[in-house]
Amino acid sequence: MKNKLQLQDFTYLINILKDNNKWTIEDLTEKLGIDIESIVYMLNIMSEVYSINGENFIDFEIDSLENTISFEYSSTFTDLNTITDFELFKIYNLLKSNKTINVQNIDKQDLKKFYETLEIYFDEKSKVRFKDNLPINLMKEINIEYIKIGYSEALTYSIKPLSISNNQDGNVLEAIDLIENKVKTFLINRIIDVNELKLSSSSSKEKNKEIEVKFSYKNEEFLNKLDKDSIFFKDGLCVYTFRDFNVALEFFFEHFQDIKIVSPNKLKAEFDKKIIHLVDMINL
Amino acid sequence: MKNVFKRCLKLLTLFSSNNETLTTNFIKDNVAEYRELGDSAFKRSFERDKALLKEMGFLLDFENDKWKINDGYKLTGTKIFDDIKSKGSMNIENFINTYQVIKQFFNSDYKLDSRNIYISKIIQAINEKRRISFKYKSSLRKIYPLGLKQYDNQWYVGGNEQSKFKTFKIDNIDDLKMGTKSDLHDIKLKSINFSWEESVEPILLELLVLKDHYSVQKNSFKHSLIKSIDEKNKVKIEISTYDIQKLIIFILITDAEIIKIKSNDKRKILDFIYEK
Repeated sequence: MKNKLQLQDFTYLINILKDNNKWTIEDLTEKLGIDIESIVYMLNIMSEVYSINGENFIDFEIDSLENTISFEYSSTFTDLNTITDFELFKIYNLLKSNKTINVQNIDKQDLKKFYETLEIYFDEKSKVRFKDNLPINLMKEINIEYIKIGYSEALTYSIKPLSISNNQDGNVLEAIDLIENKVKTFLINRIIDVNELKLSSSSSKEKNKEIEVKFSYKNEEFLNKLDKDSIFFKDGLCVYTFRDFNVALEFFFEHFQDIKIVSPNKLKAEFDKKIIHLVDMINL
Repeated sequence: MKNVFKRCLKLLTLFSSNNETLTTNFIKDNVAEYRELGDSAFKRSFERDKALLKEMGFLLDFENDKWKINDGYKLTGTKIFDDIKSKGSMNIENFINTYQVIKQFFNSDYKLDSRNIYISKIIQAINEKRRISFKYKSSLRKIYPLGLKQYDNQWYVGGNEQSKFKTFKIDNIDDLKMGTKSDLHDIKLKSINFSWEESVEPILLELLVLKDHYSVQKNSFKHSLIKSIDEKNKVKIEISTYDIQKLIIFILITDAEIIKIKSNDKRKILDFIYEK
């Protein structure tokens, strides 16, 4: 059974079920991406919901010989709108920021029409349109050229893309790294090329050398960008361990006005060197 | 959690079959799990359920407009889908099918700052030309919202405040309320510029940067690309920008080389650096 069911699992189930009165268990589990035990658990809860006039919200019957589930829906069930403005906004936010990715699993015309329909509600009428720069077929194994945060050279990763989502740094591609066999997230704007899978050319396996940095700060806006559980405050300074030297350096460039490196000296020196170089370039 | 799911689904069905506002007593009487509870336990459960529904975008707000006879709770937050359905701007079956396919590949369960939940009300206020009020960095603002803007992974609402156009970052908005009157203005807007874009001259400069770096970082700062010339693995770009802070970050991160810059603009960047 799915570990942690959420209310949105129920509303999505309602949305899917409406399409048919009879489902094969295989189709339903595939479409919802969850196992049959979780589905039955949710259906049991929903069958205990009654509308104001005493009507059953949903009735269902499982045919274990045919492996099907038959449903009877109340008018309240079929009329219930489960797609919120906020969810459409989150989807729009992902689509808008992923214009350089052409997700080939979804029909291009349907996606364009869907996007344009939402654009009427959410957009300021920007002139940006879909570009098909990086074709990605989700679930199909590929190689990507990816520039890691803080690095100047692209590395090759052999991955199986799973889905597109968002975190505080922007939109991300969630994928299985086929060399390390673990799920990783790749910032989409840092993927510079997509190629056919070739495991031998993968250069992703590398060791990061963590770096602990002490720094002073003017305000706490930078906190959103860091893992809150790993931040420590000591003697008025903030202490944080970054994945490696270059990631730390890029973080301090991004907040150059608000925070100041105290240690280690190597990082501080590199940061100061870049600032001096910039000032020299301007003064030339 | 089972009871919480059940109560939330009951609340949704209760409001779905009643278009009017519902009083607290009516809600308590018609949701069996609430009925048995004492007043304070009911209040706690109801508030918890409201918060859970709100996380998904179902907004259960108490309406107590002084001109209305019936006070009570109203469920909002699903106006866009209803609107698409009623206007027929897209075949609704196609819309739902595409939505379901997108849900398979785009994970919309990601965390967006919770204050973006106000997007539903902001859009309604824009479309119906209503006024909104909200707390913004601890001051109370009242604006006529005119449109939205996305920049650097953040969303902004642009609006008219006391006859001046201003932009507000949605992440900084709290306690947003929408006025009850519609059609309050006739202000038309072609595009949204940030307030600082109205008052200052843009910086013009020429940079030499690695092509890959420009491709990765170009969306990190708002700029207009005037000209670009490829030079092997680098690109020479002529740009204009108002965004000095992000320009500096761009140069630092990409190791871009400044080829040409006017002396006035040099001063602006240096002032910005030394401000730190």
